[in-house]
Amino acid sequence: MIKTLFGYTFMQNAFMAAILASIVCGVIGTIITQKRLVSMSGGIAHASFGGIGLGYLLDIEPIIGGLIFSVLASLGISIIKRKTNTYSDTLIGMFWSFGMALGILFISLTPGYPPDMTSYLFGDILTVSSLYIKMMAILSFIIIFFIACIFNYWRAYLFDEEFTKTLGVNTLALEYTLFILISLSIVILTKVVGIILVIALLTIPTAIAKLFTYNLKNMMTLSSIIGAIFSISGLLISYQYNIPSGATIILLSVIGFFLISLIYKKISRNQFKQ
Amino acid sequence: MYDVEIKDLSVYYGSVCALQNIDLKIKSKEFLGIIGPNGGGKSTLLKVLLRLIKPTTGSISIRGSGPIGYVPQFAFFDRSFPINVLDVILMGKLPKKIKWFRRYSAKDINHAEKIMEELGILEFKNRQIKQLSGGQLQKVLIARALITDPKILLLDEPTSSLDSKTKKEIYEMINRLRREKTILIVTHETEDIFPYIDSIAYVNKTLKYYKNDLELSHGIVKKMYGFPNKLITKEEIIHRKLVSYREDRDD
Repeated sequence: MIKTLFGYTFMQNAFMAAILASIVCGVIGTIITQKRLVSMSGGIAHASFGGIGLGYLLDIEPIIGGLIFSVLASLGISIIKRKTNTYSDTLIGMFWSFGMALGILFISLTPGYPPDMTSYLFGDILTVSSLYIKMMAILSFIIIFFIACIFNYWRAYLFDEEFTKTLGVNTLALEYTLFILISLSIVILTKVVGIILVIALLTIPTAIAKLFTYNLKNMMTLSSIIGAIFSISGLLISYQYNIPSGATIILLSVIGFFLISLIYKKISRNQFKQ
Repeated sequence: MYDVEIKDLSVYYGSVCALQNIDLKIKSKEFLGIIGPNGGGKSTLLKVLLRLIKPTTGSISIRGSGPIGYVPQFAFFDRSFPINVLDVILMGKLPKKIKWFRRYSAKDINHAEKIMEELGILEFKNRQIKQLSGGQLQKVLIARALITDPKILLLDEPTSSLDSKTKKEIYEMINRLRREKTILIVTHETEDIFPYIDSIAYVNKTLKYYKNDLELSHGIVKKMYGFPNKLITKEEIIHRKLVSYREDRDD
């Protein structure tokens, strides 16, 4: 079965997309969970829907529109929060619904048959094109490059932003860079697992990795590997039973998380007894 | 020669005044305790000193080019963060201008180890911070501030929620640094720091500065109360206000 599977270009692309998405999720997901930016990422993801709608309306690649919207939303949340002292939770909620509403409005204004939006909501890894794989590869490289080459600064910023600031380090530049990287990642992932399921792929592998390591770098690597295992096996299962791939990947990850943390708790309790 | 000079400084958050017309001069090698009620502006003063916020009016000048060595409250940390003791301390070695591909040098690591040894925490070098006690984490944070080689050390509630033995240990540790550094310590535990400090700044929107008079401190007043005279009256007034406030509420 495996051999015939890899004969199809769309299947090769799907596997490549799954692996690239897992690497991005491992790195960015670790940062998001440690900096408590999960709901922020949800907001960015949904705000990008507005851009996707605009892309259809103006007849440009929807993902480009999504990228622009998500970058603007993340920087907007950060700037408005600093200027007005509004709770970022409230702002995130506003951007979240604002983006979705715009998306629906733009799509209804688009002439002709309405495009099938479920592929952006739930993702469709089997329709990922070779061009998109190249785009994903470049974006993943950019993300890993930015994280790796100033890794010590990222760790300091994530652990104790205030102290890092007292050293004179420009933490604002780090924050903006981080938000742009998160936006890039979310857009990459939108095509693979969809807007709604992005958060799961960003948080679940990291949550599992956190059980096994106390090192930030190892956590990123381990999350990537766990993500890859879930996405590839999810892909195979979805192909076998002809069920939606994005949903399968996420369901598998959630079940995996609960099983692994249950087993982990049991083992560590037994160790404690001895 | 003053290390810190604050002139007529005020800080407003919107229309709310946090600090009003504050003047403060801190001598080199002075050991100053900063006290005051919660919400009285202690943390605002601390943030102004660290240049985390800008004063609304007035000026602040700090001698020397390097940053103030900041020791934040250890209780506020996410202990499950994946970082070990050495990496926490090495944070102090990050150059302020972001350098690409910068790794910590062997020299940086040696420096960190030397400080860890002096503070008696070298054995925890590779431990994750979750596996440290409160007192141990506090020492790690002090080490991180010391590795920046600051002229001025600023500690925020360094002993809150520690047991009395660890408290004393931390105070003794800070006290050993006073010959080399100007030390500012924000605290609620006025009684505990009294034997060490040279002066006290009482912050409650305004700032009142008291010298810790040696004669007084070694005299009767200290024996009886553990505070200098003036301070007691201040503290007492607040205490009375608090008590009467509570009584009012009970009614």
